[in-house]
Amino acid sequence: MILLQSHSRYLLQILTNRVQNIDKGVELDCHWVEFDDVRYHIQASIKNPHLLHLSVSLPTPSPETVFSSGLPLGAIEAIKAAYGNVVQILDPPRDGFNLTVKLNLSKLPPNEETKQGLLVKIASVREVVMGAPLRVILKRLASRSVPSNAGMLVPLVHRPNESFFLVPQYEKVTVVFPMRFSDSIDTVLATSFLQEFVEARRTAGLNNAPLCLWSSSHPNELKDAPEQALSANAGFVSFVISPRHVEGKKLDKTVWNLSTFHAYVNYHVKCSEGFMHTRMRRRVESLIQALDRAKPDDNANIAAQSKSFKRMSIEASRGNSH
Amino acid sequence: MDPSTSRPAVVIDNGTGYTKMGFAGNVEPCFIAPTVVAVNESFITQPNRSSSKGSSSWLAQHSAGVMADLDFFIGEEALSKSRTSSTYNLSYPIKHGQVENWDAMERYWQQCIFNYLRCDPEDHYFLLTESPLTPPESREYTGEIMFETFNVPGLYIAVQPVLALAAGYTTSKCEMTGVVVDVGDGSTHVVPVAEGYVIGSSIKSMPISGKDVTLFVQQLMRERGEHIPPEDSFEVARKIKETYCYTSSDIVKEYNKHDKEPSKYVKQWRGIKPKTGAPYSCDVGYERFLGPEIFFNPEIYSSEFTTPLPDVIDKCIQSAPIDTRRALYKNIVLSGGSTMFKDFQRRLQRDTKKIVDARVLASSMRHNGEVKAQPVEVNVVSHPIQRYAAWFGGSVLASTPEFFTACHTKAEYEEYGASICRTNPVFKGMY
Ligand SMILES: Nc1ncnc2c1ncn2[C@@H]1O[C@H](COP(=O)(O)OP(=O)(O)OP(=O)(O)O)[C@@H](O)[C@H]1O
Ligand SMILES: [Mg+2]
Repeated sequence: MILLQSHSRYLLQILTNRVQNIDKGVELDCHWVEFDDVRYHIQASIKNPHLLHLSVSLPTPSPETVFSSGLPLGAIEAIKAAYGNVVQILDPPRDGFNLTVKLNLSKLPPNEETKQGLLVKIASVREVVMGAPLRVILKRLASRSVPSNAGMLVPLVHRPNESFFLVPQYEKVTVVFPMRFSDSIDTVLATSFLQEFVEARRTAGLNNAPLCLWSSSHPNELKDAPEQALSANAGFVSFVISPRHVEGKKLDKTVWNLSTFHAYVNYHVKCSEGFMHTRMRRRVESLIQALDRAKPDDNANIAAQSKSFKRMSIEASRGNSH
Repeated sequence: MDPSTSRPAVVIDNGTGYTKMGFAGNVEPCFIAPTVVAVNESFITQPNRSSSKGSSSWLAQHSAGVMADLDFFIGEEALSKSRTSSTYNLSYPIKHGQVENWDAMERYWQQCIFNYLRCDPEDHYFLLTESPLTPPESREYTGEIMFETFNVPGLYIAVQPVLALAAGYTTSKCEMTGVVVDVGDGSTHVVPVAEGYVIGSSIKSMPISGKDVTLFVQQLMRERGEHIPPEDSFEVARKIKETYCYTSSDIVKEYNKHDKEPSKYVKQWRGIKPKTGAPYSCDVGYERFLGPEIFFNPEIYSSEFTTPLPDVIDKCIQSAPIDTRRALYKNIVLSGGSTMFKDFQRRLQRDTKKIVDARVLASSMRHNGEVKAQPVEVNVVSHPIQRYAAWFGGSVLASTPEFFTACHTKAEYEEYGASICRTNPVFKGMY
């Protein structure tokens, strides 16, 4: 539960249901929004139950990032490579979206396992699309070829109007995240979380993990970055990725973990806040209990009577079911 | 403009049995998951040895506690975890429609938001629901968690039956007067609403709900000696209930039908024993109609509560202000999973009408037929989204522009504190 999965749980549920009940394919029209402002819309009709229209909108890119025809560089190729003839890109996309594709479920592979794998991949469309430029760079790293843009700063969008930065080099890629939080408590928690995170990297078991640094001011890599990218109230995190982190199967995972790093930290900050509340509630409860013990007895009876809805003794029989 | 008002609001209806969650503007919730959390208690329940070993073991215990706080599952995953491993304990945060365990509730929401809906709570306004008898303190707790843990920009806590009423009138007229009969998993409420406001003093409850039907089915099958693995029998009873139970119009006739044509009425249930993996099967007979019958003849199940649901509805309306009664009888709206039994609506309509007609007749007899009493129109309304009517009503209301102005915002919360969550205004679009 600690890591976010790369597929949208809801999209996968819709696809799986559709495939299983293709003969009773109902009218479908749903929209939803995921973290970092990725929006989805899916539509299907009774007439053609095996055809689905899926639209995705991506976070608004900041001025420094490059999109080509509304999509990150390399996204079209990535979609074609990942989905083959199951997916057809529609041009132009639906109003208000960056991408609309037509899914043809009748073209899914017959083998159950590969079919399921492909459905998961379709449900991971945001990883395929948004991670495309990152994947291109990391793939080049995996093959240890000299990048054409060696030493140049590459901004990539990950949140609305915010980018993170890559510096591709031979044998390594440095990834820098300016960390921003809107709530002041979150900022404090995130800052200390990140420092702990970097500290944890130093422990023996994690020697193979990417090198990881945190600093309150922007690192040297960002010296040419535009002004607005350099304001980060929770500091800057850098990872140094080497070829071994992106070999074979690891590539997908690394792409996903990097492109959702901010969401990961945010999630953990919220978990910590929930955790602290739990502790505070326990403390308050124990204090209230202590107070109650100090009170004379008859007060307790009043409290018991004032329950707004008195349960019957059926209650007792419910007890053993749960 | 606040960009979060351009995104669909998150709508979560937390019920005793199931949580319905999704985004405003959709017809269906994204997920319907059992309201249950599986917590790893093995860390916490370790014997307390800290006193003798000093600070290092205190630290170990502390971090064990931290680990336990992170190691948990919700919904179906929680149920399957607890089935396969004894280290997880199930906790049901909501009992009879009220949140009883706030720690578990907060974890449950955390998972709903981050792992199921996968949204950033800072990006969305939230609409949550509560049962009609929720005390204001509980609303404050909810507000505290939503604003402080999740930093939601805005929050509206709506009363489930009011939402269920809103669900029925999406298109032309939006009449917000009616009686909502909400039969869920852990509570049954009959709630009169006039112009969007709950008539609090007339709310009636019934201590029989979906879980009792399940228990009754389980009991009937056990007494008949059907071989169902005991550790699975509650779940199996629930599934049998949801698949095969229906409302009969007359139990005596129904018994006869079953006896005459068992092949037509007796169903087979096939399952697999969770421990050995061996298949088994059992018969489903009279419990098909006896289960739902406990709403109409509660004495077959409970000796303490014997008022049938139609009587509860009638009492509720009779206790409401006299000028609202006709409108209330005319619009009795069903909501909740346990109103899904086949022909439930028909039976409820017939039995309620019978009570009303008898009263009208009696009253005109008293007046020796001199004053002709106006017949009272009784209408029990059923609609296709009844199973999650409260969620759907929330989805409809939260997609109106007025919704955002009716919410409490984070700024207001920070200025005035949690007490603002005690009330939520009824807003335009609700009537
Ligand atoms: N098709 C069906 N037929 C009969 N019962 C059903 C059906 N589907 C669901 N149920 C039952 O409905 C109950 C769940 O309903 P619902 O989701 O409205 O309750 P809840 O909101 O969790 O509980 P409450 O409102 O009491 O807090 C469960 O007992 C479930 O077994
Ligand atoms: Mg409910």
